[in-house]
Amino acid sequence: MIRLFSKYSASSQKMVTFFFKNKDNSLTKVTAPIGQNLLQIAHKNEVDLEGACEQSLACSTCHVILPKQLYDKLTQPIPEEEDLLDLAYGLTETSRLGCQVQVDEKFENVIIQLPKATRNFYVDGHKPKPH
Amino acid sequence: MIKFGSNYASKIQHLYSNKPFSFAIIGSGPAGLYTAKHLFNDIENINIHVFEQDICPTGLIRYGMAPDHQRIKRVAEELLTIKQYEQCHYFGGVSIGKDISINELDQMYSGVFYAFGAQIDKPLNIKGEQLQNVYSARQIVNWYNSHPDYYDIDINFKNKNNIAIIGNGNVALDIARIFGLNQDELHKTDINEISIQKLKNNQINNIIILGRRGLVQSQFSLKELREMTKLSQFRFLLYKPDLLWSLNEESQTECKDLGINYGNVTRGNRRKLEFMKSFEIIEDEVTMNAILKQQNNNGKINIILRFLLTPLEIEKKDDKLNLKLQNNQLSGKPFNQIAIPLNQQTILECDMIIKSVGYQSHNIDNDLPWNHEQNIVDNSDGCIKKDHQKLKTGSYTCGWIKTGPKGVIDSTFASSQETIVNFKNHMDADLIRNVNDPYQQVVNLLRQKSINYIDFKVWDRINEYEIQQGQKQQKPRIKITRNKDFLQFL
Repeated sequence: MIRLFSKYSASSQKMVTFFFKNKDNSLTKVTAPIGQNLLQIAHKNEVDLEGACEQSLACSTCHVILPKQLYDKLTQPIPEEEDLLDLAYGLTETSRLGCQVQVDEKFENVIIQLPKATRNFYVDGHKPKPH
Repeated sequence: MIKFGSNYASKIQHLYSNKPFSFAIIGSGPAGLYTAKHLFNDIENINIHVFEQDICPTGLIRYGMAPDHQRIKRVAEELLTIKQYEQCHYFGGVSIGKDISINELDQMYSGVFYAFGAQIDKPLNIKGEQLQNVYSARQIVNWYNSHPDYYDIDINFKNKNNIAIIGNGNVALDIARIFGLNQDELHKTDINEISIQKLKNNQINNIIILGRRGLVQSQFSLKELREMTKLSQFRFLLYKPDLLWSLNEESQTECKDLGINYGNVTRGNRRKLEFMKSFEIIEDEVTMNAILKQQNNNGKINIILRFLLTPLEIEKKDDKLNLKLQNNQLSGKPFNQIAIPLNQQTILECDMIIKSVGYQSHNIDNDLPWNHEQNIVDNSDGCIKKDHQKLKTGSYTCGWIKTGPKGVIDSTFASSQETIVNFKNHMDADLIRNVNDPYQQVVNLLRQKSINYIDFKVWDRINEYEIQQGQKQQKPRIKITRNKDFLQFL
């Protein structure tokens, strides 16, 4: 029986090591098993990433920013995730929801940035500078 | 526990040795609890007292968020982990400004964080607002969320075929969705049984959601819209003339990719517009009237999204309500378009009207600096201002009372975080005084005034009871509705 489930046992589990860049710009180094998502890994490592809706795709509090190279290699987010990114604070072109991104070998040594608590540049009714 | 930043806690402890700080947080909604949680994470040796006007904590999580969105409601558990700290006390059922003044708070605490949100509805100020079968969104939302002040409002769905909702934000969609849930879907919510009985036998055929400006300027999010289209009982409809007026050149610009200066606004607009292109279109007035008159819709509910209409007046006509609307057109530059009236009016005959044009805050104490223009606490990035300019050090604000009642829980968290960062700068600059835990003082004060309150221990018993009662019927919880029923847990 044990052998049957050996791929789930700790010893043979493949791990990946990467970094979270915190809101105060400090780095947190994390090592996590392949297959876990960024929100789970952040929580396990005391990285300050909220996950208000328990991964039910109902909020964007676990918004993270990926390096472009990595972002491009991942599968595109589903429309429901995009809907929430529409509402995310400090959205960038390589933003994702941490709960929807599972880590694999491609994450080795990358830096995952947490968004800063800045206001949206543009709020309805304000005049943005001409582009 | 999730930690904010990395070295902050040790830094603040180092700077301020072991002298305690004591803070009051006014309001136990997402903004207040988030702030409490992060203050505990970041600063050593502090006492925090959370004051709440309602008996139960969590504010809009319990009484505002839709009852079919149970998973996001579980954020309450995470926020309430502050209960684990001995130095954290909850005073549920205490009104600041009435039971305790803010001058009393200033004397007792190192600092006060105001997070009491938006307690009232923005008024429409039109004739007929007070008629029977006209409700405010807050009444409806608090009714289906079993708020003690609203659970027994007089509402009746008999022969109510057409319902108009004025305002097109997420609250309007929440209400439309809850009104249309089928029996199974209703049972999975924590709506109380009496309200479920009323909802499940309703005879709604059409819900008309009205916006003052155009389709692109509509306030609801695509997330809410998409969720609702997945429920098979709803059929979404748009009205062709609205679209022609809505999609002017300026509005189309608001959907273009204009780069990062515009944040995610244009992206959101673009995706919403794209999604709504799949909705059915009502060609003309004749078809519209036929839809509104039909007696039976085979169990389906039409959600008719209308635009460029401002309510002028509500009249009672026999059993019906006539909603008189001003037709508008858009005017102004992209992102600053306003609705200006056309020389044309529309009468919408309906059976119930819900005003959902947003919430509003009102001040709780004349000594609290107030921005009368925006109806928020007078503040600069969360620091409260005295006489409109000087900072009132030690007084802070977060959530809707800081920014105005806009945005989802994510923006509330982000804006609270901004307040915390600014507050910590004041800590670093030694502007915050040390105060020993005033717990006994507060308890004595409340006792003197004969004010009953509940603490976290009592809340735990209430919470456990509600969940237990719910489990018996495979429901998330059964809420206690009457204020006097809470008292038995004291």
